[in-house]
This record gives sequence, C-alpha cells and structure tokens, in this order.
Amino acid sequence: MRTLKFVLIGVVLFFIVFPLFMMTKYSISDRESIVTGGEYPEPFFPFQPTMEMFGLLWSRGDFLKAGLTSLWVGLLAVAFSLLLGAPTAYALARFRIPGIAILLFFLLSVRLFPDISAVIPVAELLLSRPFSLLPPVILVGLAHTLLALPYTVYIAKGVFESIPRDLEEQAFVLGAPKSSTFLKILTPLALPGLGAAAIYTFFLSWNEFIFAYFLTFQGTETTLPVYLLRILSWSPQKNFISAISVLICVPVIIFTFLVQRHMREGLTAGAVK
Amino acid sequence: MAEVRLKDLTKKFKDVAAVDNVSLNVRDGEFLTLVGPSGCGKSTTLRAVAGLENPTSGNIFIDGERVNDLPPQKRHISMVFQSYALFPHMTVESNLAFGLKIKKKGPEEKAKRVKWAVELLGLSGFEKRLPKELSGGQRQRVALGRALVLEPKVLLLDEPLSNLDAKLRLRMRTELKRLHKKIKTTIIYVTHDQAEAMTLSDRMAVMKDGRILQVGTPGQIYEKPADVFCAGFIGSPPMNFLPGEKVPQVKDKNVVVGIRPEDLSISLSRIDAGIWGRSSVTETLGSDSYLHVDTSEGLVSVRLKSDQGILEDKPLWLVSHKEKLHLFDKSTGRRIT
Ligand SMILES: Nc1ncnc2c1ncn2[C@@H]1O[C@H](COP(=O)(O)OP(=O)(O)O)[C@@H](O)[C@H]1O
Ligand SMILES: [Mg+2]
Repeated sequence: MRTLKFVLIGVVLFFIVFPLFMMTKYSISDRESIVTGGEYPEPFFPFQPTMEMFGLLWSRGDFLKAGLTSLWVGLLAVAFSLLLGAPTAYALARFRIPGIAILLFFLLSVRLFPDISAVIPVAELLLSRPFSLLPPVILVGLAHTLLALPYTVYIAKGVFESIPRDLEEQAFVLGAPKSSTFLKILTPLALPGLGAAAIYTFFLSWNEFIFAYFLTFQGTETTLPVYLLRILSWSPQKNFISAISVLICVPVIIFTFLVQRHMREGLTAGAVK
Repeated sequence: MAEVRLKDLTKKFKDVAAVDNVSLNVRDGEFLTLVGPSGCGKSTTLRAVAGLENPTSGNIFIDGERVNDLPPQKRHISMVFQSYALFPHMTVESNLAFGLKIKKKGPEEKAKRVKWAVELLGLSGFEKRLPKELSGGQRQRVALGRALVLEPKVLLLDEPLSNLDAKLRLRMRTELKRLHKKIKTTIIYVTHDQAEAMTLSDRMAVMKDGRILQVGTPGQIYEKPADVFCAGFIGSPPMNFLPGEKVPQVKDKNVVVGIRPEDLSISLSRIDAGIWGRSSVTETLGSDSYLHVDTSEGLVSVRLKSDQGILEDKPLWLVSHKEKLHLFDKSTGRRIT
C-alpha cells in the first residue's frame, strides 16, 4: 500500500515537474545545447546555461507591453466578475428567487460547449457596436468575466451561505444601516473566500487563449498567450519560446505558492465555521 | 424600562399562522417568559416585537406607542439570538461597542459603557479576545452585554441558554435572574424548557400552535393549569391524566382528571377511593424519588415520601385529596373551575 502510494505520487509529480523542467531547461539553453544537428544527444542540462533569452525579451518592448496587457485584462476580469458575481451570489444565498435554476443554467451555458464554439457568438457580439468602441483590454476583460462568472458566483454563494443570517439581523437590530452591515460585517467575513474567487479568475484570464485571440488578433494590443502564438508563427526557436513560457508561468507559480493556504481556507469557507 | 403590549398579533408564513391572534401585556420591569414546545411560534413572536418580522395583522405597542412600522433601532429594544450572533472577526470589546458606535456615542461614553458591561458580566481580561477564543458561557455573556450597553427599554432573549451544557445552564439561569434584579429592564424571554421558565419568570405565557393558552405566575400555572396541555407541559415529571370514570372520587366520563405525582399517596391496603395498581420501577431525580405504578390506564408516577422504601411489583392503591385533583372537560380540554 505504502509503496503504491509513493509510486503514484511519483508518477503524478513526474508529469507535473517534467514539462516545467524541460521548459526551464530550454529557456536557459545555449545554442549548442538545442541545435545538435543529430551529431550528439541533447544534454540533460545545458552545456553553458545562459540568461540571454531573458535579456532579449526584457529589451523587447512588445513583450513587456503584452505582459502589461495581460495584467490589466486579468485585473479587469477580477473586478468585473466580483462586482457582478458577488451581489448575484449574495442574492442567491439569501433569497428564494423564482426561476433561479434557469438563470444558473444560462450562467453556466458558455462553459457547456468547447470554448472554440462559444467564442464565435461572443466575439461577434463584442466586436460589433457599441462594444467594439471599447479598448481591446476591456473587451477581453469582459470575455474573461463571462468565463469566470459561473465559478465566481458558485464560490461566492458558498461564502455567503457560510455567513449566518443571524449576524446581519443582529447588526440590523443594533441599528446598523445596510451599508454598515455590508462594509463592517459581510465584507470582512467574505473577503478570504472572495479572494479565492479573485485569484481563480485572474489565473483563468492570465492563461486564456482562444477568446483573447479572437478579440485581439487584428490589433497590436494582445495578451501574453496570444503574443506567444505570434512569436511561434515567425521563429520557433525553442529557447526563446521557453523563456516566454517561463515568464508567463513564474508569476502563477510563485503566487500560488504564497497564497495556497489562504486559498484553501477560502474555498472551504462553507465547510468550517 | 417599558411595558409591551401585543394586540391580536398574527403572523402568517404563506397560509400557515406561526403566531395566531396573540394578545399579551408585558408589565414594566417584568421578566416574562414565552414557553412552549418547539415550533409553537415563540421566536416569531419575539422577532415581531424586535422588528425582524412584519405582523400580518395586529399591533405591537411599546410604552403605549405603536411600533409596527418602526425599524428595530427606534423601538428601544435589544435582542440576543439563540446563536449569540457574535461578530466573529471582532474582539469582545468591539462586539460590545458595535451598537454604541452605530449610535454615534462619543469615545468616553462608549468606553464607560463597555467597561460597565465587562464588569457586570465578569469579562475582565477578555476584552481583546475574539469570540472563538471564548468559552460558551463567556460568548453568551458577550451577547448579553452587547444588548445591555444600549440600555434598552426591553430586552428580548431567544433561548439564550440552550447552547450551554447542563451545568453551565443552571449557573447562567441564576446569573440571569440576578442580573434582572439589578438592571430591572423589562425582559421577554423565550424557552422551550419549562423548568427554565418556572425558575426565571415573574410571569409566563404558555404557547402552543401559535396561540397563548395561559398567562400567569409560575405558581398560578402550576397550581391551576388552564387546560390539559398546560397541565401536562408544566411540571416534571409531568402530571398524570386519568379518565374521570376510573377515579372513584369523580366518576364522570366527560372529565379528564389530572393528578400531580406529589399529590398522590400510596396505600398497601385497599382504599375505596383509591386507584389500584402494581408498582413498577423507581426513578430517582436528585433529591426526589418517583415510583411508576402500572394501572389499568397505563403508568402513573408518584413521588415517594423520603422514608418510603422501594416497593417493587407489589399491589397497591393510589389516592389523592379531592381538592388536589385537576378536572378538565374531556371534549375541550379546558379546566372545569
Ligand atoms: N421564515 C419562515 N418561513 C416559513 N415558516 C417559518 C418561518 N419562520 C418560522 N416559520 C414557521 O413558523 C412556526 C413557528 O416558528 P418559531 O416561531 O421559530 O417557533 P419556536 O421558536 O417556538 O420554535 C414553525 O412552524 C416554523 O416552521
Ligand atoms: Mg425558536
């Protein structure tokens, strides 16, 4: 039993770590380590590790610009999905609303078929007036909001359900206006859980490709995954692409590592009082 | 301090009346308990007084003023919830001060009132703790303190002791009673525990199915229960009920006879006015022992005199003074004089 457990953990770790390792390895590889011409085997570790590709990326304005675009799109998606999702979730948690099952179905519907099928009607809508007048960053942010909303609503509903209604009634009896109850009672109690939803949304947006591609491929402003595709389409050099990939992943990995405990608490907010 | 008057209060959820035409006068400074089985509408009544439920019909007066349309904070009430509803992210001190802050009291006044509550309720040294770092009894006192610092005219308590363990519950009962003596606020107290109601109340209102069946001092209700339900609900072990025709002193089949266990005495020889039975088991509740007697009408419990030994599986006769019998109309359940 014990051995089996370790073997299984080993296999899982391998599938997670191996691609990360390869990606990192290529990103710091010198030319000789990746262009072997079949004369010698590719080394396990680069002959002469180098940060050259990172330097190159740093000096290219378009990479930094794409990074910033991704950041803004992610933050917008977080803001939109919380602003729309949290009140919806609150209403769902607190009130009996007729026809709610249908509403929830529509909320989920975008995610019921492949993104590649959903993207056409959504892009069609967002690329026609009046939406098309908005900057691309906002359009992509809206699309990502659409994708994240079901999860935000779902997580936030659990969060609000875990906050006893008694607390709100108590505040009301103590004379607190709705706004104080919201700011001083609900918000602080919901924050960890909503934080988990926010992080989820941000990473969904950070990694999302299809919607971002359809909405921005004609313009100059793109997110990192779309930028990566552009690079791929003109010069597929392993080390350069890997360096971009590493830079896309690193924030995700560091951040997840830092907040994972917090996030777990948020996600289980409904289970523990 | 204030008096509270409910006039024909009805609260319906959909078509079901949780509170059904309730009228009640709570006197100034009185400790009044609403007591009844779970689901009988006690909480709903209390919440209507607090302003958390809108009455379907009827009126609520506090100190003569009709408060139906006033929000809770304008009713000069405070309420303690069964769950205590302490704000989990706030310290004891902040919890206590919450209502004062909302009412925009100055910092000095606030500090003074919080200090008063802390001392009154024995919470010194715990001011900076979070609710989760407190024991059940301390939480309960914080909830009480948070209500009291607002100096309410009426204090509403919904089963405040039901989340405590048995021992603590008894201690908090005494503390509550002492507290009421000291602050003399009008208190409306809700419980399903008749013993709690009996020990705490100045007067109690027995509720069933959304209606008030009887209002009176614990003594009055115990001595003269208005109907079969009140008779059976108040007192432990409960009153024995026998059909009238089986009780020689009554001999009336339209009557239900109620006899409290302490009003019965046992005779080992035949008594004409007695009811025959066979002794079954003895049960000891604290200082008192009760014998369960098998009669033709089922088990009847009898309080044993302190010098009576255990009599098991013996034939015996049970008898009571005629004036100790409670007679109820069989069809309506109401008391007959
Ligand atoms: N918000 C509500 N919606 C529907 N029914 C309710 C609601 N609150 C209470 N009830 C019903 O009203 C009745 C009385 O409830 P309650 O006042 O809580 O009883 P108690 O406090 O005496 O146990 C119960 O049958 C309960 O199910
Ligand atoms: Mg109740």
